[in-house]
Order: sequence, then structure tokens, then C-alpha cells
Amino acid sequence: MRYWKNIIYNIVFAGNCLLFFLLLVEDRLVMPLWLQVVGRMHPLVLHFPVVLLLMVVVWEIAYRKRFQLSETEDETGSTLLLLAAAFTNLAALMGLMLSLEPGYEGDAILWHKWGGFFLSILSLLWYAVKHPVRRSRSLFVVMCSLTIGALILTAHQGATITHGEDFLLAPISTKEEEITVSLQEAMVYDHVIEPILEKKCISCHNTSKAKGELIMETRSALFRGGKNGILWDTTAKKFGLMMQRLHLPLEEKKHMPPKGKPQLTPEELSILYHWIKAGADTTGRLIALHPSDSLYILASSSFSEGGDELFTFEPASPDLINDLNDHYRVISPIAKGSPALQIDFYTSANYQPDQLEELKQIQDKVVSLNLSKMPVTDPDLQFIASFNSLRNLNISFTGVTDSGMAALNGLTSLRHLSLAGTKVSGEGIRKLSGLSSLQKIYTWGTKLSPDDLIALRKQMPGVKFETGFEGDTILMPLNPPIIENQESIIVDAVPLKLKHFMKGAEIRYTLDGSEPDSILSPVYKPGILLQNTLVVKTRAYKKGWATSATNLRYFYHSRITPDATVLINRPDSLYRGNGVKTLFDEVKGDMNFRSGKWLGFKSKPLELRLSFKNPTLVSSFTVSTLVDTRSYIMPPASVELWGGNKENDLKRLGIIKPPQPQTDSAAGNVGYIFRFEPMLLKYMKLIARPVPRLPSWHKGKGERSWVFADEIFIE
Amino acid sequence: MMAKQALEYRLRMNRRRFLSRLSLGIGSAALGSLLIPDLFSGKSNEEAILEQLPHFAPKAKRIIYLFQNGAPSQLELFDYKPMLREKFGQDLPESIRMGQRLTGMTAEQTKFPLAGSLFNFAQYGESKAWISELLPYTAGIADELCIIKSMYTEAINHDPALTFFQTGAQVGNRPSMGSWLSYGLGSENKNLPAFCVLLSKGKGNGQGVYSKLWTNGFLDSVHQGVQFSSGENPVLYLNDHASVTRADRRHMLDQLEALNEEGLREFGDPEINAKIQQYEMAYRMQTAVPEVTDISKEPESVIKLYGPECLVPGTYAANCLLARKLSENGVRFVQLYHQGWDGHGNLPAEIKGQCADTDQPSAALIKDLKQRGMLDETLVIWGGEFGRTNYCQGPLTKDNYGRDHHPRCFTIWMAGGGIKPGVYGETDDFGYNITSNPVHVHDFHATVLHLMGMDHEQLTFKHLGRRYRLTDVAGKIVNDIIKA
Repeated sequence: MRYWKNIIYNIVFAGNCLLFFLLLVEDRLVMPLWLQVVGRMHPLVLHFPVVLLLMVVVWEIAYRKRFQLSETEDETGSTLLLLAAAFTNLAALMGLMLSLEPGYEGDAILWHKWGGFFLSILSLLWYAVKHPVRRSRSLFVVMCSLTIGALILTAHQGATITHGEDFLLAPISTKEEEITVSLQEAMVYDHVIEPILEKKCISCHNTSKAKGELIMETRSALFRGGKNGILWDTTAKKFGLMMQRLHLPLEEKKHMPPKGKPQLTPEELSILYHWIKAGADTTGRLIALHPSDSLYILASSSFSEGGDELFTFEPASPDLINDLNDHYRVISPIAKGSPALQIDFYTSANYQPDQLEELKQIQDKVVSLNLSKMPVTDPDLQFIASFNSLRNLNISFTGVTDSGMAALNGLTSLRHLSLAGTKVSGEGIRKLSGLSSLQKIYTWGTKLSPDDLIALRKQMPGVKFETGFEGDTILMPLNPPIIENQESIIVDAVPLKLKHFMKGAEIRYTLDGSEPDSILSPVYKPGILLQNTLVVKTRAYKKGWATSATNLRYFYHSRITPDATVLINRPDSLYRGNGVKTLFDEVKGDMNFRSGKWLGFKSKPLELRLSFKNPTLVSSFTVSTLVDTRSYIMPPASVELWGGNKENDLKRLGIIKPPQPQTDSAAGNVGYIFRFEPMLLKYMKLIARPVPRLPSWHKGKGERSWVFADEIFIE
Repeated sequence: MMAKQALEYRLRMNRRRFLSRLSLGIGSAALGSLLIPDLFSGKSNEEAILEQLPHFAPKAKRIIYLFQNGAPSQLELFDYKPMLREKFGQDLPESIRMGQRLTGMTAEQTKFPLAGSLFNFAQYGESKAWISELLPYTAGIADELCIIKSMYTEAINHDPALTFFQTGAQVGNRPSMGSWLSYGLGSENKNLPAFCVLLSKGKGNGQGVYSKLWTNGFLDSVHQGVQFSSGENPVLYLNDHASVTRADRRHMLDQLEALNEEGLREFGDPEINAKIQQYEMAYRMQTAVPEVTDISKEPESVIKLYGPECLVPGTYAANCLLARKLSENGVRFVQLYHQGWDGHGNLPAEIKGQCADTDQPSAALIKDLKQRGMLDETLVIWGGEFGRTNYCQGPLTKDNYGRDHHPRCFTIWMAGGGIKPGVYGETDDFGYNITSNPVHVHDFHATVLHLMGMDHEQLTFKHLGRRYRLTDVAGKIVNDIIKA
């Protein structure tokens, strides 16, 4: 006897080691089929440890009460304990094997698994130290209560896995049936309205309670109303009693549901509102509503579109899928372990017609097929029609036409069909009446006419038509042309480079500072040379579009360099660049006024005097400035140009008072060009005065503004 | 001697017994190991993880993330707070601020004058979402959007906040979201990278974007985001020189592969294998990329949908259009960054410009995906790295103000693949604290991974002795915004 017990003890020890090891590497285990059979015997074997462990506890208590046991009685106790340990371990091992089969997840299994493991170890431990346990009262109590506690918990979790969450208390607890209904089957009243009433109203308004003599349990009772009359009336304020009560502030006594009870969510409120508004129909299907119907939008999102549907067909072999997969035809299961396949084709340049035909071997397992932009034509649809499990078919931007549509009628499971960008018209879509499961059809960019659409919507009430954006009637301004020239200082002559990204857009431009228009201004053609200081203004025109805004760019040309230059006022010490030389270095400043290429003036105006050794023929004078309103750099209040042949007797050649900006805008370069009859000049003077007070819209209103200049050009 | 024997007796254990017990234990472990088929196959931990993917049927196959870099002001766009207008100029009560740390930019400010939005709001769609007059096009797609008004983050400055949003950690060197997706799900179209990045810049005050935001971190370098440039060649160095024919290139790659194969045999470095694959993919990209990036065949209605700017490379509109085309061609994750939302001063004028650049294209993307039947499987996300304060930074005037960084609440929206449209979360009347349904950045990541069919707790990578996740040790899936 002792010999056998020793052997069993050692086996159980090894079994527990095995159990522990397997639990550690659980993620990586793969069960052979014969072991799955062993695992499935878990529900049979598990009853032994339950009974045996209980017997052990009872026996040991009895033993303690009598204190002195005969040798045989002692032996019986220990045998019982060993058997309990053995069966516990066996059941735990089997349970672990069973749990590796698919379908066992969640909290219950976690607790059950570790509970079983704990019991297995505990019973073995108890056997190993049974004598000390018998001697110590406290150890005994701990052992017994741990065993009983773990046993109850583990057994209960096991029952939960097998029989479901509420199995035990179901007969005495109120049932909440949760039926999952797909969008296809959902009824407006049964599956949208009633569940709301059920959850939030019926606990008070039922046949046994009937608060306010209102019963909401049945349709007829609901329509009858209560003590205060019928519940809704679409002609009344807020559509009648029910809506009024629901919308009262929570503090009001008449607010429903009463304070302290579960309240309606805003979503539920609007669902009820729209249902009543539409006439409180109790028989219609949700899917029959128009897709832009408020009630449909609100309610449909809580129903599954059948995306998580379970596919029961046999999976294709992984090797076959691997063989069929290439870089341009990607085949994959829709989820890990699912037999359903999705197939996407990419890069039309690499499409081969037989790529589709090769799919014959897996055609009944394909639920989603994307052939968008592939050179697929009507004959191919005959073949696709044999993909009888297809849920989604995307043949947008392919060569299919009306005559191919009839072939698709056999796809009875098809839910989504994208025909966008094909030549299919209403005639072709009418042939699709056999697609009994169709939910959505994408007809954007097809030849479907508005009249046909109205007729088809009636003919196929369960189908949503996604017609997309047309834009024919929308007048939108073009974006302005792009001036591609990099340079802004003309050395000799540069070709003007204008560009517009819109195909067929007409670019018109002016060089004289006037706004371009669609009649008088020339159309841009390459080959125009710029030779003087000027401003290019350009706009784009196209039929079906509004005229673009004006894009402009200053080009500067300098032919004459003065012999002497002097600045009367020093530029601000922070922005003094290279002094007066900066204005004649032929380096344009960028949009960064701190770059050193700009001279900044604030407290005193920019006043430049220059002279020529010999009188020089001058016809234009340009000062290039920066406007950056956010940096307090405004156009000058005025720019004056003086000239003459005696230093003290200069004539004013011109004055420009630039318009001041009305709001902040992006920084930009502005040139002030003075043109006059060519005249011989020896001395010239330029004065550009900063705006003394920033305008009221500006964040620095009232402060002095800056004038920044980078270059002077004389011709 | 006696003492030892007495102890052995009491423990019922001696060396012989100990060793025989030990052999039993080891033996049972050996027995158990028979059930692990890949124990000695050298399969790595990563392969074991990836074999399980996707963990469940995904609701979205692809993501387009319209990242509004610099943090757009939620108070000007989505989070309508009329009370801020009534309390214009009053100080933010300490009871609301509750010791929130400040940035270096407003830490010196003695007053925190409340500034209401200059812009008007109206309600749109079934969810009656408040949307600003600055976003007329977005208002038009209100029924597609799930507007989350209760996002919050931990960082208060751009770099850590951006890095946190993209990688799940404020410090650098962790893989970006797109890299995790590429690692977990691989590429749909083997001819294009699984993770593409597109950059654009608005006129507002901008903040930098840098390649660490699309880094693969410790993941294999094939998972790095590929930045498309706005010039003539969207992918740099992809085109062959004019003198090289396609056959020449093939020949050269074949020879190179033979050499690399030899190297692989000799050294067994997996990076050599990665290199071979990348050369091959680049070769296939040479035909795939021009087809994808060609917008000349887009019909005029699409140009009108996105606005004419979409023809100008490098604009946000062009990037939105390109994002749709990439997504359509099976790119898992297209990440846009649009700079210029950092309105510290002069916010009203700047945000007006930013909205003018982005509103129409963002909405167009949703409509365009929808009309092609792609919106159901494409998840579109719009949002910045944090929000902006309800008080003014710098001088407050009637028609101008600035707002500082605010991590405690901000608004993002999601649309498409598995998203339930509506408004989620609420903030208090000051627009400062969240009052219901807060969504942490980790929660956002967990939700996005869930929509893509992955359990964020299972998608791990072992690095430096520790398993890393995108969601670190946190993240709760926001089930309320997911379609049943």
C-alpha cells in the first residue's frame, strides 16, 4: 500500500510540475487532436475532485474531533487526500487542454484556470504536510478554508463558462433579453423605440404599477395614453405631452423620467422626438427610411451591418492562398482564423486577365473583392458572378457597362457594390433587382440620371444610393497663377514664367500695374521678356470657375548707380544692415526683416540723398520696401522723390501715398515706382516717412510704425 | 550529524529524495515541451506575436491622420463656450485652474483674462454638434463625424506633446503609431510603403515637424514612415537616371541580390534580408508611385471638391488628395502634418487663414472616400497635440488675442471605419476642465488599434529586456464611439 501511495504521490508531483510548466508557456502550446479529446473529458473528471476535496475536509474535521484515530482510519484519510490531489491535478491538466480550444476567453476562464491550478497545488501540499496540519489548529483552519473557498470560486466560474453568466440566478432575477438584430432586420418600433421605453419608462408605467394611469407595455396601451391624455399629437406644441414632459428641466416635478431614475440620453431623446415627428409608426423597417432621415441616422448606428458575421465554410489551405498571393493581387483572411477571404488588386499596369480566373479555386470563400481601376470588362463579370459568398464588390473606375450588370444578379449575399466612375446608367442598375441583400450602391460619377435615381430609390427601397459630389453647379474661384521666376532683380532681360496647375486654365497678365481683365489683358505665352522695373499682375480664367485673385510680383532693374549716396537719418541700430550700401548692393531682402538685408526706420524717416558726377538721364526711380503688419512694418505714410541739378534747388518729381492695409496679412515685398519724362539730373532725394500712429485695428495701435527698405533701382 | 539527520527527517527530505523529485519535475517539463511545436525552430517572440494578428476582425483597414500641427484652438472651432464672451476680460478663477502648470510663455503673466471666441457657432447634424463659422465645409459633414471634445494629454509643450501623440511616450525613440501598424498588420499593397508621411505648411505661427515623429524606433527599419516630398518627385531618389533602362535596373538588382544572398548565407544578419526586400520594393515602387501620385486624371468634380489648391503640390489640399490616393492603393497609414496652428498672439487672424486652407480639403477627403465606398474601411482622424487656453496670452483687445498651450481638454474628430458619429465628452462652461467622458492619449491609441483589429495589450515588441506597447501600461478602449 505504502509503495503504491508513494508512486501515486510522485506522479501527482510530476503532474503539478507539468501543469505549472504548461501554464507558463500557454501562449505557445499547440494541442494535437488526440489531446483535445482528453481535454474534452474535463467536464466528466472534474466532479471527482469536487467530491473528494469535500470528503477530505469532512474527514479531517471528524478526525480532529475524535483526536485519536485508529491506524486504518488515519490511513483512509491520507489515501482520500492523495486521491483528491491526483484527481484535482488531472482535472486541471485536462481543463488547461480544453481551454486552448478556440472560444474560451474572458475573465471567467482566467479565474477558473488559476483557481484550478491553485487547488491542484494546494491539495498536493496538504498531502505532503498532512501531519503538521493535523497537529496545528490554525494551520488546519487555514487549509480547510482555503480549500473550500477556492473550490467554490473555481467551480462557480467553471459553471459560468459552461452554462452562461446568469444561469444560477436566472429563475429569480428579471430577464433582460438582448437580441442582436442586424440593420437589415431591424424594425423601427420593436428594435429602436421599444427598447428605450423598456429601459427608461416601463418600470413605472406597467400593468401592475401604471403611474398616471399610463401603461407603456403594449402598443395599444401606449397609444391610448394616460390620465392626462394621449402621449403625442404632432399638431401640438413640442408634439404633445410626452415630449413636453421629457424636455422639462430635471428639477421640475413633472419632468420624466423623475429625478433619481435613469434619465434618457440625448440620443434617445432625439430618437423619440424624430419618431413621433414622423408619425409614430409601429410597423416599418428601419432600413426602409431614407438614408438622410434623422431617425435612420440616429438609430442605424447601433445595429451591426453584419460585419462580424460568422462564416461557416471550410477555409482554403494556407499554401493555396500563399501560391495565389503576389505583389499585385493580395489575398488575406478578413481576420485571424476566419475562412472568409478579401482580395485586393493593385497597379493596373501589372494586371493580367488570368489573375482573376486563377481565383476559381477559392471563389466561394471570397467575401470582398476590390478591382477598382483594373481593366476589367463585362465578360469578367460573368466570372465574378460565381463568387457566391461575395459581400463587397468594388468595380469602380473599371470598363464595365450596363450590359454586364445582369450577370451580377446571382450574387445574393452582396451588400455593397461600388460602380463609381463607370459607364453604368440607370438601365444597368435596374437589372440588379436580384441582389436581395444589397444595402449600398455607389453611383458617383456614373451615367445615372437624377430621374432614374428617383425611380430606382423607389424600386429598391432597402438600398442606399451614394451619389457623391458633382460640383457642376458650384462656382468656385480658381487659385491665382504661379510666378515661377526666382529672381526679382533683372540683370539684363529675363523671360516671364507663369504657370497654372489647372488644365485648360487661361493666364492673363499686365505689366503696367493695372488689374488684369478677361478681355483686354494679354494671354500668357512663354517668351515674354522683362527688361525694366515693373510689376507683373496676373489672373487665371477658366470656364466653370470664377476668376482667380491677382498674383503680383515686382521685378527691379537698375542701370544707373549714383556716384555718391548719403543717408540723412541713421537707420535704427538693430536694423542698420551695411548702411547706405545695403540699398545699392543688388541683394534683395527676404521676408525676414532681421536678415541684415533690410534697413529699418522708425523714429525718423528714411531720407536718402544721392548725386551723379555728371548730369544723368533718369526716367524711373524705385524703392523696394517690406510690409509685415504683424511686425509693425507698414507701408510708408508717404514716399517723396525730389530731383534737380543744384543741391539746394530740388524739384519734387513725385509723391506716393500708399494705401494702408485694413487687417493683418502675410508679409510681402512692395516696390514704389516713380516714372517721369526722362530728364537730366545731378542730385536726387528720397523721403519715406513711417506712419506716425498705427491704425486702431492693429494690436499696437497708436504706436509708431516702421519703414523697411532694402534696395533702390534707378533707370 | 544527528542534527542534520533530524532536520532531514522533519522535512522528509534528503539529497537523494531532492534529486529524484527534481528529476520528476524536469521530466514533466520536458514532457510538456512536446506540446510546443516551435520550441526549437528558432521562431522569435515577435513572430509568435505577429502570427496572432489581427486579433479580431478589423473595423477599419487603413488610417488617414490629418495632424494639425501646433494645436488648433478648440474654443474657436468646436468647443462653444458662450460664457467666455460674457466674462470677457475677467480673470480665470483659481478654482477652475486648480494649479495647472503653465508654459514659460505665460508663467510670468499676473492675470489670466478670459477671452471668448470672436467667431460664431451654430449646431449641425443629428448630434447637434456646435461647429464654428470658420469651418463651413466641416459643418457640412457633421453627420459623419465623431467629435471628441474631451481629449487630454500630459505634455504642455509641442515637442513632447507631438511625440506623445505619435509614439505613446513623451521622450523620443519609440516607434510611431504608423510603424506599430506596419509592424502589426504589414502592408496591404506590397508595392508601396505601409506608412507614408505628407507635410504642408500654413501661414500661421508654425512649429517644427521632424523625422523622429515617423521613426520606427526599435522596430525593424522597414516600418519607418516614408516622407513624400512636394516637388516633382514625390519619393526622392526613386527614379532611374535617364540613361538607365528598366531592364538594366532589373539586371543590376538581380546581381546585387545574388551578392547580398551570399552575404546573408555567410553572416546570417537579418538586416541583409531587410535590405534585399527594400531594394525589391523600391523597384516595384518605380511603377506604383507614378500611378498613385498622378492627379492629372482626376475629374474636375474632384478638383472642385478639394478646391483648386489641391493641384498645387505641397499644399494641404494636395496632400489630402494624395492621402486619398495612397489609401485607395492600400497604404495602411497616411500621416499628414499641417503646420501653423500655434496661435500665441494674433490668433483670430491666423486661425482664419489656417481654416481657409484646411477646412474644405479635410471635408472633401471624407466626402471623396464616401462616394467611392471607402469611408467604411478608412479611419480618418483630425486633431492637434493639445488645446489652447481659455485665457489670453499677451494683451487682450476686443478683436485680438492669443491663446497658450492647454493640455487639459481639446477637441479632435474621427470619422469612417467603425466610428459612431456623434459628440463625445463635455467640458465645463469655462472650456478648461473635462466634465464627462475624458479620453486620454493612451485611450485614443487603444481605440485606434482596436478599430484596426488589434488588442493594444497584445501588440508588443521586446526591446532592452522589456516588452513595449504603443499604449505603455495604460489605455482603455472608448467603446462608446465605436459602431456596434
